Amino acid sequence: MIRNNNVLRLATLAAFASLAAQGEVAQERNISFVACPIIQDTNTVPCWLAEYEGKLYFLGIQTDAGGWPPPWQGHKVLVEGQVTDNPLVCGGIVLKSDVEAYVRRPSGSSAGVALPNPPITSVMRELDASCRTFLPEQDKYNTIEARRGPGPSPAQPPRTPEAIAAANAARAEREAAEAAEWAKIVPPYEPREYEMLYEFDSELAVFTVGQLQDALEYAAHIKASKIEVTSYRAASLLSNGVQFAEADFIARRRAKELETSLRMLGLPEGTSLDVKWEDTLQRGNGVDDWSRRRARVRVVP
Amino acid sequence: MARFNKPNSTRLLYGAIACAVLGSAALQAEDPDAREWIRAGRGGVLGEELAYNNALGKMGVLNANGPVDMTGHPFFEPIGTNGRACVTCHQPSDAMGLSLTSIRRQWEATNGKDPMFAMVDGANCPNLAPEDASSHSLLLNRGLFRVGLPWPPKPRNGVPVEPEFEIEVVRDPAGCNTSAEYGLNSPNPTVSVYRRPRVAANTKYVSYPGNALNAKRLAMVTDRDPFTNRYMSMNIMSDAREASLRTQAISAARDHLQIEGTLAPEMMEKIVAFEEQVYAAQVESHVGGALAYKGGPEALGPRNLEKSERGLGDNFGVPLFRNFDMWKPAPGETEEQRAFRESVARGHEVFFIRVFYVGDTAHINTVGLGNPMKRTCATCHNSAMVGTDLSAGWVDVGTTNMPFARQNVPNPFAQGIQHELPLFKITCNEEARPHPFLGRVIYTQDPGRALISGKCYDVGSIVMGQFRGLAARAPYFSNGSASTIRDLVDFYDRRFNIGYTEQEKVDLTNFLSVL
Repeated sequence: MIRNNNVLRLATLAAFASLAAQGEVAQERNISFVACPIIQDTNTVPCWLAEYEGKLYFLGIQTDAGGWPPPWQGHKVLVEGQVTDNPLVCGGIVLKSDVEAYVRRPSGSSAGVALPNPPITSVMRELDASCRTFLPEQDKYNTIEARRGPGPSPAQPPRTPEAIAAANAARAEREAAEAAEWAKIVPPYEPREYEMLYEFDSELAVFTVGQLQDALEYAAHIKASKIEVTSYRAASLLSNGVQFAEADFIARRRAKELETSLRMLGLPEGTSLDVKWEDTLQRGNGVDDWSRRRARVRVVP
Repeated sequence: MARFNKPNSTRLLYGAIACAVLGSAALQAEDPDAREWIRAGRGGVLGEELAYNNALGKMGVLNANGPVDMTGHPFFEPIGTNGRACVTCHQPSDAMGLSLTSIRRQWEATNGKDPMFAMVDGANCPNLAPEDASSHSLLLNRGLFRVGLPWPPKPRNGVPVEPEFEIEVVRDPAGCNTSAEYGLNSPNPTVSVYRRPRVAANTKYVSYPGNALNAKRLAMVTDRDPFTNRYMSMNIMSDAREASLRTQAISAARDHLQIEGTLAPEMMEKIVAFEEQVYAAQVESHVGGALAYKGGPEALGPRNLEKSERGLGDNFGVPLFRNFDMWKPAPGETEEQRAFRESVARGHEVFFIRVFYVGDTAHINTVGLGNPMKRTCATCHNSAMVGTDLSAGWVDVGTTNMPFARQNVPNPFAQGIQHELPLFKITCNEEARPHPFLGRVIYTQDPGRALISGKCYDVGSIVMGQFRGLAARAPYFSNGSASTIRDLVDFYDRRFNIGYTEQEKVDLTNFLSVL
């Protein structure tokens, strides 16, 4: 069945490729491709690179929790970003992304030049044993100044009683402010929508899943009649003109994951859950394809 | 350069245990590892501060709320139907866990009649001959109890679990997974895996309220404690199947003690209250001398565990196991003691700051740092004072999944014994998110967390165990596949191609031995 899915996917790609040939191509500075991630060791954290059409691109460096998640060797990666004019890093042309939803904590600099926010990267679902290139450290690439090196993080303030008391006070203040905000929300209530974004071919909304709690909190506050979940699947227009399509089951998987998460978190009493998905492939444009790999959670009064 | 861990000490120790059948008096006199066994229902008082001999020194146990009257106490009384108590598998002398040494000794001392060997899980399968040692070989050779888990899994937080994979039994030396009565195709389909008891001490470091959502574990909703309705840390069990100490007490009474009905609430509360105040850590090293004393290392000994707070230790401000600077060197030390303590201090630094590439490890390389990632031991073992993961800590480091899992263990009892553990073939369905580094077909001795979550990417993931009291409770890993602390170190060295020097290995081993 996996093979069958791939056949379907290739057919989809072929259909869209003809559209691309008619002029639907990505803007000049945008670049999207699928390739093996390459690791370039340095004297601090490693650089992550990828090669496309004979050029080597710099994706980012190993970071820390809350930072850009580097790809995985053993899998190909989809790279969606923009080409910059920055000096080469680890021998690679520097890519970036300014998409707000994918802006992560700054990772550091190279030879004194701040590294941009990395491109959007999606680890491909299946294994690819060919993706194992590991380049050893070379002096000329030892230019990385990482915010978080490979060792322990810099000293954090000790948890003194005073520090704990201050943190508790700050939390209490924050909660009071939130309570005040909730008090302002009075009938007639409006529907609210929460958008979950996904890596390509992933059903796990790792960076946006927190919105489920927001949705449930709102649902509880307004005693919502229902929560509607709708999820989608999309394609990414690659720089070679191919519409690279997500798996045909991924919209359903996204919906089911959200349903499970919402039920485990606990639906408010009296709130029903309506879960649906759209299998129709939404075409990519090579610019904001990330925005169509999504699900919508709608809280209805 | 001086080295103080003794490569042959384990073998010598096991030899001494084999001689223990001569009688306990002789054992007490001759075996430096003689320990006090607390049998279920013994009664008496468990003191506030205790020290028990073990092969490497002494294990300290602290009852922070004062002496514990064991008479009538549900942790110490045989409250079920099989004669066991909680203490049967959580012995103070074994850092509130259970060593293979103690298991062997009880078998010899009681001719296999100790309730520990109850057929429900103290045998390879309940349908075997109770009196036959071979029926208990996994317990006697590797320290493993049978854990029978329902398949498909039970609902989580009240939500049904839909398994993403098929499970087949490839090899079943114990016969339980293919048993018509107890196996996968029995009227109550059950998967039997075999695991070590975990430490029932220092619990504030492993069981605590957490966040509802765990982005690190792939956007997962964490389990709630039904008694408090709080989301929990999920670090108690090897597969995180119990959310809290309370639910763990209930299931242990049912599954291990075979209690009639359910555990009474007052008993449950008393068990949990005991577990929440008991601390265990090594307090003396045969070579290094006293470990827990005023002015000594802030991480060592149970008193320091009681005083310290849970937190992220992977930082230079409050390092994981604090520091050992006072041992570089300290006044009044003998030369041998000084060399050992310096080795421990170096071992701590190897653990804390020695960088290497961690690769192909599910729930480590998949949670935001890339595969491979260049980090230290302390990145994953980041919880201060205990070395677990502060987040829900299941990880497939390769202890149960092929190709990294060890088929046979190199302790003297298991030599020449082939393939004792079952082997399962896991086939993920076409829509499942596959195991990130093993794909859609996985061979495993124990699917670990996946038997609870039903997720393909959880196959072989096991919750990290705490690092305290290691000297008293060999063997290690959930399947007992590391016989000694040095074996643990060697596993990681091989697994990640770290390339530790011999000195680094010795230092790490010595460091781990004093925790």
